[in-house]
Amino acid sequence: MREKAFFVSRAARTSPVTDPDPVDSPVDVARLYRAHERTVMRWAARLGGPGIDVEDVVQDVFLVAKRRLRSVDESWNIQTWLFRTTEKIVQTARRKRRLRQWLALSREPAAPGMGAPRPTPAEALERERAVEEVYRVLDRLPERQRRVLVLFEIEGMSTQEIAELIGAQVGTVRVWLFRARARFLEEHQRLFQRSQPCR
Amino acid sequence: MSMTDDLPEPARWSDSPPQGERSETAEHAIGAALRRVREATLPSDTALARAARRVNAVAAPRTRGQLIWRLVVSAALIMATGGAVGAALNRWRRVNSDAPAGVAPGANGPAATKRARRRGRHGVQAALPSPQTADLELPAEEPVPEFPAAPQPPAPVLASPTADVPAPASAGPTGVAAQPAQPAHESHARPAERRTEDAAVSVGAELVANAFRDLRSRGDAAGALQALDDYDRRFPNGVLRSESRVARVEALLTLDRRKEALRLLETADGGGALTRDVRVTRGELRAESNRCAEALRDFDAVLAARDGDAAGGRALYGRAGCRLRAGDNQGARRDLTRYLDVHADGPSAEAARRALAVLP
Repeated sequence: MREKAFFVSRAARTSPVTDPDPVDSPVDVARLYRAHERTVMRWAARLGGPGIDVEDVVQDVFLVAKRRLRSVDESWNIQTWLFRTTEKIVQTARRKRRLRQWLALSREPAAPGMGAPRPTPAEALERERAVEEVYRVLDRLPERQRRVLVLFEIEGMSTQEIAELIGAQVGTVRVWLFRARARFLEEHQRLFQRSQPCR
Repeated sequence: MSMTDDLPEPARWSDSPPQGERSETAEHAIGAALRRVREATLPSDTALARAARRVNAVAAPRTRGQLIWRLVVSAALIMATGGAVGAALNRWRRVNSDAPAGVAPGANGPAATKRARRRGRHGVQAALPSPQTADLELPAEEPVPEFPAAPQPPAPVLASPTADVPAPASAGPTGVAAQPAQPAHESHARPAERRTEDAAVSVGAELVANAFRDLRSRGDAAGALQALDDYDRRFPNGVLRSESRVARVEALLTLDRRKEALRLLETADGGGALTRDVRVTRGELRAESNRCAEALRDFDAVLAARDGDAAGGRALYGRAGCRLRAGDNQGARRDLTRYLDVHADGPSAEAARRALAVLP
C-alpha cells in the first residue's frame, strides 16, 4: 500500500473534527512539497509526455494546494488529491500544446529537465525517439485508458494501487487496462509497423 | 467484489525480459520503449531544485501578476467589444432610423425640438417634408388664362393640414430632398449649444421644421417666411437650402405672392431640386404669366415620365390650356381626353368636360 497521507479541506474547515494543529492548518505546503515533489514531478512527466513543462505543472499543483488546502484530515488521501490535481493540470497543458501545434506555433520539444543520468548522444537520441513514439500512440487513446496504462506500465503501479489512487474498482481498472493495451497495440501497429519494424 | 478482482495481476510489457532479435514480438518492443520512457521521465535533482525554487519564490507573485494581467486583458477586451458593438449599433440605428413623417400638427415644445434635432442628424433629407403633390398642389381650379372652359382662378390655397403630412422620403419622389448629403449628416448627436457643424445642422433643421409647422399646422405663412428668412440669414449655404426654398414657395403661394414664388422656382433650375410636383407647379405659374412656351417645356418634361399620377394630371390639364392659347385645338383635345381617361374623377375633370364640350 502506498503512503497514505492526510487531508483535505473544505469539509474539514468547518468540521469540529479538524485537527487544529497550527503546523498543519493551514497546510504546510513546504512540507507537503518535500514529501511529494518527486512523485508529482514523475506523474507530470509521465502523464504529459514530451512538450509538457514539468516544472510548470509541479509549480501549479503546489500553488493549487496552497490556495485550496487549509487543513488536514486523516480520512483524506492526499495522494489521490495530488494525482487528480496533477492530472487536470497536465490535461490543460496538453490541450494548450495541441492548440499551439494546431496553430503551428510550436514544434514538439522534448521534455525539459528530465532524465537524471546524463546519457550519451546516441542514447539520448534513442531515448527521445522512444519517448516520442510511445506518447504518439498514447495520445490516441481515450483519457481514461491512457491514464491507467501510464500508471501501470510506466509508473509501475499495481492495479490495486491504481484503483485506490483514482478511486475506482480494481476490476474496472483491469478492464480499462485490458482495453488500453489492446488499443495501444492496434494504434502502434497502425502508426509504425508499415514504416519501420519494432525494435 | 467482482470476478476480475480475483484474477492474477496482468504482466507488464515493460517488465518483460529482452528477447532475441528473431523472437521479439510487438509487446516486447513496446515494453522496451516503455522502459526507456520510464527512465527518461525520472525527475533529476536539477529539475527538482528548479521546481522548488519556482514554488517557493515565484509562486505567489506570479499568480498575482497573472491575475492582474488577466483582469487588464479582460477589461480591455470588454471595452473594445463594447465600443465596437456600440459603434455598430449606433451606425445601424442611423442607417435604419425610420424618420417621423414630418412635423405632426401641434407638435411643439421639447419633444418637437428633440425630434427636429434627431432629424437633423439622422438625415435631414429623409425627415423634412418633401415637396409632395399635396404640399405644393395648386387648387383644382388652377387658373389657365384664356382657357375657355376653365373656371375663374381662385386665390391659391394650400391643401388642408391633414393632407399636409408628407410621406416618408422613401415612399415618394425624392426631388428637392435629393440634394447631395453633407458630411455633417454623418456626425453624432451634440448639444445645440456646442459650436460644431452638426449642431448647426440641428439648429437649421429646427428652423426649417418650424417653418413647415407654421405653414401647415397653423396656416401661418408669414411666420413660416420669418423662420425661413432667419434660416437663410444664418445659413446662407446651409444643407437645407433646397427644403427652405420649397417651404418658401409654399408660403408665398399661400400668401398669393405667385410671381415671387415663380421667381424662386426659376432659380431652382439645375440644382437637382425639381421634382415632378415642383416642375408642374412652375409650369402652371409660367402659364399664368403668359409664358406658355416655357410652361409647355415643364409640362412635357413631367408627362415624359408618366401621366397617371396627380402631377401628370395637372400637367395634362395645364398643357391643354397652353395649347388652346396657341390655337392647337387638336392637341388640347387630346390632352383633355387623356386627362378624363386617366383622371375621370380628378379635380379638373368637370372643367375639362366643359372645355371639350365647347371645343370646335
